[in-house]
Amino acid sequence: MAMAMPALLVTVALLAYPLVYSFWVSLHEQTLGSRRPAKWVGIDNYTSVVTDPTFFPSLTRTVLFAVAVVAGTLLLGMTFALALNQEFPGRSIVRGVLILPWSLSQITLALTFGWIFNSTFGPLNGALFDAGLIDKYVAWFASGRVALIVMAVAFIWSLVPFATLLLLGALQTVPEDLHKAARIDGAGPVRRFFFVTLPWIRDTVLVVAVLALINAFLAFALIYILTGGGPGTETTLLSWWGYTTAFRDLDLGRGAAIFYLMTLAMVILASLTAFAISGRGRQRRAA
Amino acid sequence: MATNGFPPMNRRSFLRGSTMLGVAAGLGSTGLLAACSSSDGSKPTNDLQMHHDAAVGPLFAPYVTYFNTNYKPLRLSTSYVAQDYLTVTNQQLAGGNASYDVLFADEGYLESWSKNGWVSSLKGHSGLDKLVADMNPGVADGLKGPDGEFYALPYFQGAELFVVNTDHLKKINAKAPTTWGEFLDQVRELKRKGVSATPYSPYWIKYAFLMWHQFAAETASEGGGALFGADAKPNLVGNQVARATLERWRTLYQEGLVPKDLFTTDYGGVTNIFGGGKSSFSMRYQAQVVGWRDPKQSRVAKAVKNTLMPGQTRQTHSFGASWMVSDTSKNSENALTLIDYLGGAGKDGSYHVPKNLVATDLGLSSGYRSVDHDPAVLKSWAKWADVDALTEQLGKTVSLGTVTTRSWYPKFADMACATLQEVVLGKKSSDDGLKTMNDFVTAQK
Repeated sequence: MAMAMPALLVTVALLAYPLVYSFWVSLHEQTLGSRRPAKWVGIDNYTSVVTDPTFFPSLTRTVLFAVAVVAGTLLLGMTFALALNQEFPGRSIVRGVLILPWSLSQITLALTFGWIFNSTFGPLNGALFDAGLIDKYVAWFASGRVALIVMAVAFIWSLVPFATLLLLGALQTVPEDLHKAARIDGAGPVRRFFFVTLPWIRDTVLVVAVLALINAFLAFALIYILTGGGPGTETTLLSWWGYTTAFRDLDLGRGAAIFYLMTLAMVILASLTAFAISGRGRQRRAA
Repeated sequence: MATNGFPPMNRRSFLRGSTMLGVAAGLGSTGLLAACSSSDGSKPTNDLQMHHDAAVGPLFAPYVTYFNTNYKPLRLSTSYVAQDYLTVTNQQLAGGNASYDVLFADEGYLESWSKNGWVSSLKGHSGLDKLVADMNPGVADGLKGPDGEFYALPYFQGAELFVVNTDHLKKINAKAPTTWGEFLDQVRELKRKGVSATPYSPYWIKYAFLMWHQFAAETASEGGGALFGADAKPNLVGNQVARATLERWRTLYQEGLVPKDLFTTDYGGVTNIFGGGKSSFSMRYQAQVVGWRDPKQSRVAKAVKNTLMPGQTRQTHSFGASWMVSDTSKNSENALTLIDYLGGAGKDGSYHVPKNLVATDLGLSSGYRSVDHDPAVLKSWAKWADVDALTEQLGKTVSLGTVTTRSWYPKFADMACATLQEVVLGKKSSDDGLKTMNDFVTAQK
C-alpha cells in the first residue's frame, strides 16, 4: 500500500480532485474574477442549462456528430486494416504513410481542412470545377449541416490511422486455422468476416468505438478554427457551448454543469456502444 | 440564497485552488504553481510591458523603439496574443497571470475589469484633467468605471465606413449609392452583368462583434434612432428601421448577393474578398480602408473609395477602444508614464502615438480634438481617403452610448451576432431576432 501511495496521490490530485471540485463548482453560481462570493444554487445551473434553447439542439448535434465519427472511423479503419492485413508490395510504406494524419495536431488539421474547403480559393472547389462537376464554387461552410459533415470528415480522417493500427494488430491475432475451417465449411469472405474475424476482435472494435466517441464529444479545435459555432449556432456542440460559457463568459458554474451533462451523455452513449458490440456478442456466444 | 461559506471565485481563490492542487500532487511546495501564476515578482521596476493583439506587432515596433530611446531608463517590451485577444486576456486577468503593465480593450470590458480589480484607476496621473479637457465629446464618459474614476485613456475611435470599388461601378455606369434601395438595385445589376458574383462583402462575422457593429451602422444610416435609451433600455422591438435592415440582409443573402459562407469566414478572409476585387462594396473602419488603399495589401488599391453611407440620414456607427493599467503592474508610476505615452500626450506633450500611429498610420480618430484637427493629420488622410467624404461621414457618427460600458455588453454583442446570423439564414424571423436581443438586455440586472 505504501508503495502505491505516490501513484495514488497523483491520481487523486490529477483526477479525483478536479472531478469533485468541478462538480462542486457546477452547484454554485460562480463567475471567475467576480468579487461576489460564490452562491450555492443546487441544481439550478443544471436546470438552467437544460431549459436553455441552446441545449437540445446542441445535444442532438453532438450525438449525431459522435455517431457519424464512430461509424466512419470504424468503417474506414476496418477497411484499411483489412487491406493492410493482406500481403502486397510496398505494404510497409503504406502503413507508414497511413499514420501521418494521426500525427497532425487538431489545429493543423482544422487549418488544413479550412483551406481545402475554402469557398474562394480552396483546392476542392478548384478540382471539382475543373472536372466539370460543379458550375460555380460551393460555399461549404454556408450551411451548418454541411459544415458539421466537413468537420466530421476531418475528424474521421484524423482518427482512422489510430483505429487502423489497433484493428490491424487485432486482425493479426486471428488464428488462420479458424479461417481454414470456415472455408472448408463453405463460408465466403463476407461470412468469414462477420462470423470469424469480427467476433474475435470484438473487444478491440469496442475500444476503437469508445475512443472515437470520447474524441468526438471533446471536439473543440475544429469548431474553434473553422466555424466558431456558426453560422448562427448551427455548429455549436456541447463542448463549444461549455467553453464559451466557462471561459469566454467566465460563468464557471454553468460551464461546469454543461460539461457534466456532456459527460453524462457520453457515458450513456459509450454504454450503449459497449452493449451493442460486446453484449450482443456474448449473447451469441452463449447461444 | 446562502453563500454556503464557499469562497468567492476570484484570482486569489483560483490560485489557492491551484496551490492545493500542487500540494496534493506531491509537488512539495507551492513553488512551481506559484511561479506559473505569479505575475512579475522579480521584474526590475524600469521594465514595462504592453499587451495587445499580435496583428499590430509590426505597426507598434517603431513606437516601442521610440519609447525605449526617449524614455530611458524605462524599457518597454510587448506581450502579444495571437488569436482571440479579449478571451485570452480575460482569462489571464482572472487567473492573475498578467505580467503586463498596460493593455488595451474594446468597449464593454472596462466595467467588469475595474469592478474585479484587474485594472487600476488613473488617480495618480498628473495631466489627466488636461487630457480630458482635450477629448472629443462623449469620449470621457466611456473611460470611467462604475465608481466615477477614470480607468482608461483613449486608444482610438473608429467609424464604420462604406467603401466602393469604382472600377466595378464604372462597368454599370453607376455612382456610389445614396439610398439602400439604390444599393440593392446596383448589387443585383453587378451580379446579373457578371461584374461580381457576390457584390457585397460585409463583415457579418462574430469576431470582435463585427456583425453587431455593422447592424448598428446600417440602422443608424437609415435613421433608426438610438438602439439603447437611458439606462441601457433597448429600442429594438418595434424598431421599423432595424427590422427593415434585417429584411434587406435576408434579401441579400437569399439572392446570393453576399458570399454564402461569410458567417464562418475569418476577418482576413472577408477583408480579402473586397481587397481581392471579388466584391464591389464593403464596410469597415478607417484602419481597414487604409489597408485596402495599400497596393501591397490590396489588388484594388486604386479603385477603392470611401463614400457616405447610403440611407436617409447617411449616419454611421462609431465605436472605440481604450488603454488601461493592469492591477498587477509592479511599477504604477512608470505604468502611468506608459499609458500616457500610448493613449495620452506623452512627456513632451506631442501626442506621439495618438497622432502618428492612430491618426496618421491607421487613419482613426485619436479621441483628442487637438490631434484630430491637426492639419498634418488631415493632410495624411488624403493618402488613403476621399477626405471630404470622410470628414462629412465622421461628422455624422452615432455611438451606442454608455451601454457599451456595461459588464454584460460583450456577452450581449456575442449573442447578438449569433442571433443576427440566424435571422439572415432564415432560422428566425426579423421580429423574433429583435425580440431575442431585446429580451436579453431587459433580463440583465
